[in-house]
Amino acid sequence: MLQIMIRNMKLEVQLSNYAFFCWQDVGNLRKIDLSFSPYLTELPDLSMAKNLQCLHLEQTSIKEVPQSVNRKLKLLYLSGCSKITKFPGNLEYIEELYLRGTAIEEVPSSIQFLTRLRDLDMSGCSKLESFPEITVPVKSLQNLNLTKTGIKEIPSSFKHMISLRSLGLDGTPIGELPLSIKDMVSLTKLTLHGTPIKALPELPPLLVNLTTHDCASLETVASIINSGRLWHGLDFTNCFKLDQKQLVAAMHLKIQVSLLTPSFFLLSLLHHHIFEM
Amino acid sequence: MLWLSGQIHLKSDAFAMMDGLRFLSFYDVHSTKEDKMHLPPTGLEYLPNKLRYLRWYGFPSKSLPPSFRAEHLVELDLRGSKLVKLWTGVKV
Repeated sequence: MLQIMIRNMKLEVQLSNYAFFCWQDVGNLRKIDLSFSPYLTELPDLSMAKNLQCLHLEQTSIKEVPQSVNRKLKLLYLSGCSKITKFPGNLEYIEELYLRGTAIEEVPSSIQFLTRLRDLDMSGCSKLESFPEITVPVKSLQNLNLTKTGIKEIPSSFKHMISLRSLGLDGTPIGELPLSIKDMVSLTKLTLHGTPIKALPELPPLLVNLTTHDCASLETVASIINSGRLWHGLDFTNCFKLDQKQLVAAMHLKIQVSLLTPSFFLLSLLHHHIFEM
Repeated sequence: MLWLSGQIHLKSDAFAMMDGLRFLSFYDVHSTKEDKMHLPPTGLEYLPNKLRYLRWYGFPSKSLPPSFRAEHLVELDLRGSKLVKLWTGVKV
């Protein structure tokens, strides 16, 4: 029995040597796309693919991205890889990370030092319950999707994401937003629908797109009346606890003040929404 | 560019005499639920080593041929494949 085991071990070593030999000269590879290959469970050593920039592995059965992958990789797509449990590391040149629906439990605080990261999609990562504090200004990140994660709280230090344009928080258990959200100077889109949020704080100055429907615990939204830029209107469908009187009163006051400004039209839309409910 | 319809059965050595082949693209053969490209159970035995670009949607083999050297390959696109392992060693 012991002999057989040793033989098998030798065999494995020989096979892995052979596989390595095949990959010796893959220095020209720029892009690998093995997405939607459901039986794929592992990748070869990628250390020789020194010019690899783009790796598509969506909807495969791999458990991890080999540590040997080119650290200059720019694009990594792992969405739908439900066996991936760890945030991919050592990718200091990464620009786009799509990790939707993976089993990742933690985002390392080193993420703020990925100075080229533009898009991070962690939507549907239901095991992810927190996001690290941001201690330095993050200039590169523009789109952060945390939709349907288990994240309960947004750190006040999110304001350091000074280039963030889109923040997806819908379907999370977030009950409160930090007051510092108004300091997210580049934020134009914020999705909050389906969250147990109770109140909307003062919103960022450039916000034009806000989703608020199906927020069953939402009580007060008075702060948004001062935001005349919500171009897409507002939808409070299924926000049963919403204090409508406060909203209508604030809105009427605003109409009197701004009857001749373009925002009158927007407020009319808002009015329409409320009386439809 | 050739538009093929119906089922295509390839031999495992289908590319054995195509040593100069640099660009191979089977596109959109996996768009329907039914696979259109078929290989024997032993998979593909040979791919030309000079290939620069290999796109084969729904690649029907469990691995790339062990003899294939990817030294010139720039882009490998095998989405929707039956791959289990990208590369396997030869059976000893």
